[in-house]
Amino acid sequence: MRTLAAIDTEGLFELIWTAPLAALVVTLTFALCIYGAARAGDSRRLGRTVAATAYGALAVVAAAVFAASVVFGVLIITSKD
Amino acid sequence: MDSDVILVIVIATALAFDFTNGFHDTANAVATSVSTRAMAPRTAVALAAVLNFIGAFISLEVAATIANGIVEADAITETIVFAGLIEAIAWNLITWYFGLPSSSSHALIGGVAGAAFVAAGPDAVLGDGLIEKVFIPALVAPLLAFATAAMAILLTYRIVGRLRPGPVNRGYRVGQIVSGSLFSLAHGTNDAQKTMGIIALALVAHGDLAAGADPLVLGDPLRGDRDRARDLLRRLADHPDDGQPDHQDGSGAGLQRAGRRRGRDPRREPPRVPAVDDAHDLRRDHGRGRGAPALRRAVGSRGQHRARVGAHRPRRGDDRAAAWGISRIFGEGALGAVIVSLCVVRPRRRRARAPPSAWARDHRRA
Repeated sequence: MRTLAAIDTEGLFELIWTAPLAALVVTLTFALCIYGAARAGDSRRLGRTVAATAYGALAVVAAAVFAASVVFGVLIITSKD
Repeated sequence: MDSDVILVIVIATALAFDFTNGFHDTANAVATSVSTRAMAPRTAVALAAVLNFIGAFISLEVAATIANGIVEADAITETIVFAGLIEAIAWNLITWYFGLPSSSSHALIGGVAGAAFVAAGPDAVLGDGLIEKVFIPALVAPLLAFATAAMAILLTYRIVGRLRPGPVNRGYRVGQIVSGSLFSLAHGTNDAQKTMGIIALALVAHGDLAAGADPLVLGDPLRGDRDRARDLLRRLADHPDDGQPDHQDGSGAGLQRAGRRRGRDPRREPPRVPAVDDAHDLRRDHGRGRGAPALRRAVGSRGQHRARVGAHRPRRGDDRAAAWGISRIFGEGALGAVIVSLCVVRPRRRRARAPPSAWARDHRRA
C-alpha cells in the first residue's frame, strides 16, 4: 500500500490523457495541412479557383496551428526548470 | 589526493558513458529521417548532435531526479557511482553490438541503484522514487506510445490516404525533419542530464557538494550567464531611444553619459549595465594615466567594451526590443538566448584596406 501511495496518480492520469490528445492534435493539423496543400494544387490545375482558395486557406490555417503547437511544446520544455 | 584521482576517474567514466549513450541513442532520433531520405545521414546526425547539445542546457529536471530521487546521496561513494557507470557502459556496448534498442537511462539507474543496494544496504535505495520515476514511466511509455501512434496513423490515413503520393511524401519528409529535430531536443533535455546527475552524485561523495543540496548548482554558472544576458537584453529594450546620436550606440552608455551631461536626476537614470559601466569607469579613472593607449584600445574611444557583441556599432532601440522579444518567444530558458545569439553573432567583415595616402608614401620612402 505504501508503494501505491508513492505514485502520483493524478499526474499519471493527466499524462495519460494529455499526451495522446497533444499527439493527435499535432497529427491532425499536419495531415490537414498536407491535405489542403495537395487539394489546392489539384484544384488549381483543374481551374477551380474557389476550391483552390478554400483548400489553400485550410492548409495555411492548419500550418499555423501546427507551428503554434510546436512552439508551445518548445515553450513547455524550456520553461520547466 | 587519492580521492581526487578517483573523482577524476569517475567523471571521465561518466563522460565515456555519455559517449556510448550518444552513438547508441542518437540513431533513434534520426533513423526515420535517414531511412526515408528526408535528410542525408551526416546532416541528420549533425542536426541531432546540435539539438541534443542545446537540449542539455534547457532543463535540469532529470539531473535533479538522478542526483536526489533514486538513491540516498548520503550513502553514496565514488566507488558506487563508478560501479554503476561501468555497468551502464557495458550494457550500452553489448546492446549496441547486438543491435538492440535499449534504454541507457534505465541501465544507468539500475546500475547505480544495484551498486548502492549491495554496498550500503537496502536503505540506500529510494524505493518510492524508483517506482514513481523509473518503473511506472517505463511501463506506461511504450503502451501509451503504441496506442497513440495507432490512433495517429489511423487518423492520418483517413485524411491523406487517397491523395496523390507525391505531395504527401514531400510534406511528410518535412514533417520528419521537424519531428526528428524536436525529438533530438527533448532527448537532450533527458539523456544528456543523466550524466550531470551522476557527476553531482560523485561530487556529493567527494564532499564538494552537500548531500541533499539542489544539484542544479551544477548548472548555476550557465544560468547566471543566461540570466545576465536576459537582464541585459531586457534593459536595452526598456531604454527609450530619442534619436540622438549619443543614444544610438546600442550599449546604454550613451544614455548614461547624456543623462550626466544634462544634469538629470540620478534616480531617473537608466539602470546600471555592469560590463558597459565598468568599462566606462575604468576609462574615466585610469584612461589619463599610465598605459592609457592600451586601455583605450581595450575599452574603446567611446567608453564601451569592444568585446561586447554589437556594442561597437550603431543600433536602434527597436533592434534591442526585437532581440528581447524573439528570445521571449522561446520562454525564459536558454533557448531564446541561444537562437538570438546565433542570429546576432556573425563573422566580422574584413575591412578593406584603404590605399596609403600620398603623405604616407612619402614618409615610407623617407
